[in-house]
Amino acid sequence: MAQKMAASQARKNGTAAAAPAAVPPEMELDFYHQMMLIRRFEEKCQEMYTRAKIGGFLHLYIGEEAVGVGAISALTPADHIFTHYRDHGHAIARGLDINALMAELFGKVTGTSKGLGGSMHFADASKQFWGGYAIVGSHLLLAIGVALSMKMQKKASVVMVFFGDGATNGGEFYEALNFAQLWKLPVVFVCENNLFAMGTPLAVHSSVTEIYRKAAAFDMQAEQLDGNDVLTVREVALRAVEHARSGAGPVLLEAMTYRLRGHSAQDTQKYRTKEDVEKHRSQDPLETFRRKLLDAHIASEDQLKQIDDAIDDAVEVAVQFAEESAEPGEEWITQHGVYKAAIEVFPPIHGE
Amino acid sequence: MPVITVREALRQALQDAMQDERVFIIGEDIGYYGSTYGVTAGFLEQYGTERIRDSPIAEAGILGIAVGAAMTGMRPIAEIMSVNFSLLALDIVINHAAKIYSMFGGQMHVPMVLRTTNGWTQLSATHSQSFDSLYAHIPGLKVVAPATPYDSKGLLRAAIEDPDPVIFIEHTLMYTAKGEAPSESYIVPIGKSNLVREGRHITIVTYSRMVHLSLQAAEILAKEGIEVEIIDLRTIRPLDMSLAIESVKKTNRGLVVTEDWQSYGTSAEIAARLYEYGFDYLDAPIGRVNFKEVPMPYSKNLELKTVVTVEKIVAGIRNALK
Repeated sequence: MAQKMAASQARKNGTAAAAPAAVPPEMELDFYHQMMLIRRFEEKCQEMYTRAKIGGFLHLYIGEEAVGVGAISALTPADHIFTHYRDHGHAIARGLDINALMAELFGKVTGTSKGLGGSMHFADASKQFWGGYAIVGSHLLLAIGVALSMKMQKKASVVMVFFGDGATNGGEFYEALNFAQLWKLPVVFVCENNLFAMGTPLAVHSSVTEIYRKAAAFDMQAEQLDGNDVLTVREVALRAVEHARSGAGPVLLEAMTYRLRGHSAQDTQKYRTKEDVEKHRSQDPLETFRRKLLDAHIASEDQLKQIDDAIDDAVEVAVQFAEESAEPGEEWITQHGVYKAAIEVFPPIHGE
Repeated sequence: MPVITVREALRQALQDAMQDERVFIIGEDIGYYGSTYGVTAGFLEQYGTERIRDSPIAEAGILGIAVGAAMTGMRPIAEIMSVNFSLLALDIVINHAAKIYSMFGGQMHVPMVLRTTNGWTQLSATHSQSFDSLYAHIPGLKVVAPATPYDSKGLLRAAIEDPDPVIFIEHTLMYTAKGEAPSESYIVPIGKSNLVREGRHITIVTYSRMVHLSLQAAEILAKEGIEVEIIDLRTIRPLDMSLAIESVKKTNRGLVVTEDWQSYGTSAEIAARLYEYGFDYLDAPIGRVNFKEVPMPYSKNLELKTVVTVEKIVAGIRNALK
């Protein structure tokens, strides 16, 4: 049930909070499947990047999977998602086809964005997954626009928008929070606090290091939670989604997590030590959850291996699909690819 | 046909548009304050706070909301009081509004209008600029800058109906300009230039408020037997140079008049295209009349020396005819 909290009651859930309520075993196995699919998909991305099959930037979500999987599990198909450039995990959790995702990375026309967007711009309008955006913070403003749109159309949909701790210092964050609370928009702001804004540590980039407290300025409900525990994320997100859907206004969640890989594939990670990373590796949300499933006898080692193997096969199929797909045609670099209603220039530019 | 002001023409276009439930207006001081330039005065009382959304002073937020709403079934009209303030939302316009259709492979589009104003009147350096060339530079945007009540009404309707983001640039010194416009709804298509005065000695290519000043300059020179042809571009992206090029082929001389800085301004692109397609017909270099390249001074005497005046256009014509 939703717990109505004033901003003054914004709370720190953290790791010390009570264990989340139990969910059906099949749901736990589904979460395991999703998190492992993200993990193996991205490990394959890294491999394909090294083999120059994938170009541009590659920002991996490895280590943060519990946030996307847990939070998105709280949404219905009628709800909306906006995310940032580290968008692979959210796309997979929303159920986007991994063949199309791998094809997007390969720059193929069968990709989710026809090969025009790449790693940072996965999108699927049919799933109301409005895309990954690569300018830090400004997609929050698009997200509240969708929330206003839903409110004006009298639809009960909620908008969930993901961003990092690094996005909470720019003006867009504060504009978005103010508009959302002022107009009581159905938004769940999910801050994935992975302790670094690219390579700048939290304490170096933010005057307030407990991001959820920033909501207090807007009298907004907020909560900090263990982002490495998928069941905690789900439980807190369910409450937040219900609050937003009820018309009571937005919620800010701060999911504490850790990025186990570099900021991007080129990151030399001078800003943290190997020991730091190893310490956090012991809290790897996927490994922790796997152990939990085994310890609680929800699944056997054999069952989990079967899931893992099926995922490996699916990822291989995705790579093959991407390899064999066609490249986008040159119509995408004419004015027809730029505008819904193509413009006509007289005389034509470039003789087109 | 009724004679109305530009302000009234814009009001009529917005009244027509508001008949569509998907349309709403968002901006600073559009409702309670009564609208800075009076365009939406009375709309709040007529349509209510849901559809006439007084916004905080947060330009990125205004336009970000417009983009998100446009992506999901609404037809937002965002008003940014002065184009100078739109700089606070450039990221939203350039990185999002202009990119979303193409970058996501055509899955979604952004049918929004950004209404804003150029203009100056002793407002000094940060309130007197034009960024026409900045917006017109960006693939994915359409940029309209009408000069008359007729075009203001018809082009605003076209902008609101358009499935892509349109920057609609008004002018603070033109709201009281009068002209004929039908009372019923109509569309002037985006991307079509217009011949506004016929002549045989020189062609002026211009748009927005400079059309009126160019007409005044033409009247002055007509008394000396100099016949000036004037092309109003009406839209600056996409740029329709067909009439301008045909005109220069006839007059063999051209002058570009724009109310912005010359270097890298809209006049640079317009002149370049006249050279590219009219080179063999030109008897003289294309002339240009623009703002002096300084931040706008406050002092009236310096301001008038900085902006484009009828006298400067007359001088520009004489120079191009030498």
